[in-house]
Amino acid sequence: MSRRAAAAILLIMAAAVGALLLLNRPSSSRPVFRRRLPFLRVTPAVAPGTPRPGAPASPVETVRVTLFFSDATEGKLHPEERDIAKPAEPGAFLRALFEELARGPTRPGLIGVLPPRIQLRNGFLMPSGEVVLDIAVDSSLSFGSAEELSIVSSLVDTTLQNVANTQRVRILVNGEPAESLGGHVDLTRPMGFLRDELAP
Amino acid sequence: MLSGAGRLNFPVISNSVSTPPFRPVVPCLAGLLVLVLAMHGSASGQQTASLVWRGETFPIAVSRGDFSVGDVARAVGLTVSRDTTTGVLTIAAKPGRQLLAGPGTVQVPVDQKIVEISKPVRSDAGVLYAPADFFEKALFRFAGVTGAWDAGERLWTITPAGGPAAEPGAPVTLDVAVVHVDPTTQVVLRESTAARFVPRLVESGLQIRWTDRKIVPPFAERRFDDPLVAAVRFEGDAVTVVFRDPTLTAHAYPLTDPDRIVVEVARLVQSPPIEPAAPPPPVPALTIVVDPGHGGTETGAIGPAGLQEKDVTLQIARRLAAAIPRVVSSRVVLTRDSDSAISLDDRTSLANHEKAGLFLSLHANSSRAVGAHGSETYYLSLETSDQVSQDVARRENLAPAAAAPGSPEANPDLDFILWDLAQSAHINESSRLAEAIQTQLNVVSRTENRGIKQAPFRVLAGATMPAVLVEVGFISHPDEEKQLRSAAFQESVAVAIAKAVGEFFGRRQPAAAPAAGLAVTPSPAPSPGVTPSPAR
Repeated sequence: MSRRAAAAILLIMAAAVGALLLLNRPSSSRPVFRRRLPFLRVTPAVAPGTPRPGAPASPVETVRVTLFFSDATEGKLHPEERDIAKPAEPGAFLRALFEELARGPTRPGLIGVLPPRIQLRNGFLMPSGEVVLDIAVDSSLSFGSAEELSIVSSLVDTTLQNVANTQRVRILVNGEPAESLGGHVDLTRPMGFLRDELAP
Repeated sequence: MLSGAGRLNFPVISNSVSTPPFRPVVPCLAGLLVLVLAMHGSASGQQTASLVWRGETFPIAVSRGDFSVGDVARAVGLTVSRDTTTGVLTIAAKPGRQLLAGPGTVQVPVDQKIVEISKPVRSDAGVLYAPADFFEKALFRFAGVTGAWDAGERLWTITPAGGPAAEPGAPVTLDVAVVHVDPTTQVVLRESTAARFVPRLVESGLQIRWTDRKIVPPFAERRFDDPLVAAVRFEGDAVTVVFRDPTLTAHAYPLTDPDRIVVEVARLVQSPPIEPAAPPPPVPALTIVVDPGHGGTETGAIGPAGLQEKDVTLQIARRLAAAIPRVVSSRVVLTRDSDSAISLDDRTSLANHEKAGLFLSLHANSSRAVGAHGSETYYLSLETSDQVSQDVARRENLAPAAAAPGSPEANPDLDFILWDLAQSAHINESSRLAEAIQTQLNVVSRTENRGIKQAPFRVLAGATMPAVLVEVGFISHPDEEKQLRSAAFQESVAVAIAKAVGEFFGRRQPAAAPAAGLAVTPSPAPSPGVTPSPAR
């Protein structure tokens, strides 16, 4: 191979590498890390109204979520929709859902199901599609079965309603597997959507 | 200290009077006076009365017009024991007979009957006080005596039942009805007014003699087309319920509203006592496990007035353990008979170990919904385990044959499925049992029907027999908390569940029934909807 031919090949290879680097350049709209499964089952909320001309666009992107709260008379669960800031990753989304449940309903006639002394320690979305909610439960709390069913159903159904690619929710208590929250509902296994506690 | 400036000065009225040095004597005396007055005030409702029985006079504590239950019961010779947790008094006349009274009792359980009184029994400084009609309608009859209250003398005069009446009244007009509820017949003697009577077994049947009033019989003798009662015959101031054959026996008890005497005729279920060396009764083949929910540090739900679910469930469970063998020949095992914590799986495991025919878990409900009230009966929801089963099947279909498919080691979810299979085999019977219990609770406990429900309750999951969880009422509801505290309500719930258990086994297909002990007897009170036996 002549010296000229070798230089041409080197030049072509350098150009190819440069082109590849250019094509794979990080951009704001396309993350560099591996593609992740979407975790939002919900669609982004419609922006409220048209922004005024000249005003900066709202930096907060929102999603519409469905939360399940109890009615004040019979204790059955009813859905309530609201818009929340779009979370960046599943853990944050699970935490946001829990916080919205803890905040309680806005619709008259509904009541919150989470006592203040129940908090979310951690929430995970496992690759198998199982959600793990690790909740902290104050040892002084006690429940009847209706109350316990409302708490568990609200957590499970709200999670499965909003988080995509999930079928089951496993609840840990204070970081460990537990028989139940208060002696009733079985927490030893992951749970699917609990329809029995929803209002007809 | 600087004087004057910035300080508030008080005018001096007189400098000539020397002020005595401060001594605490005067305030102390004043305080003592206040204390005495306060004690007098608090005790103003406390008085005493007397009770005369067999020539002896007994002091009876009185509070706001009500009489001490314990004082009166002991005076007429009854044995009194007190549950320190609930304050309920158990008054025993002889083995097997008891009367219960606790704070709030309006329906007094007397043996197998409920007697309503005009106002609740109440507790004052740890002592139970009841109105006069508690003694007249319940306690004195239970003790086999009658009592007359003289408000002027503040004196109860006690005489043996059937003894000399205070004064003879108008004659009692009578109606007779005969109803057969297999396997017993009830002869109801409806009275125009309550009157004292003495029942006595005679050769031809059971005779009732009125002791303080004349009677107006509706007929001299009437024959009935009834399997047990041949006739009802009036003679003088007595009536005889004539048995159809000599293997029958009967007992009589009074009921009120309307006033009536019920004669219950049944076949002798045991060998006559005159037979020598009767063999001991066989151990029933059927075992029923009753599970009082929670216990120990697991209090369960707590009511607005502080009532704890674990205490209510234990009280009802003990009553249920006594009530079930009266309805179904069975051995009843409690998962706990004390205030102790037991895991949910251990409760079910005990039932499985005992090879129980039924598992009844008792609970009291609570909800953040203020309006929630009433009773509910649950059986297991298989929704969750079905989902787990589907997931396991899907994974095993997809997985390479590395691990032995189906082995619990290969897949821990199989443990759940196997545990659940135990109950899924009985799910239809559990549903039927739940329905029977809920129907009875609706009738007897007067709670709102919240129906039968399914839920993934851990305590039901592994039971290898029909299993239900009964929520007897909402402890979170103030009114129902009061009910749950009352011994009468607890007893009525226990009797209702026991009756449902009897119905459950009574309707069960013979092939599925336990080997022995299915003798079902209805409760003594007349049931609605029974068919009157036609008179000839």
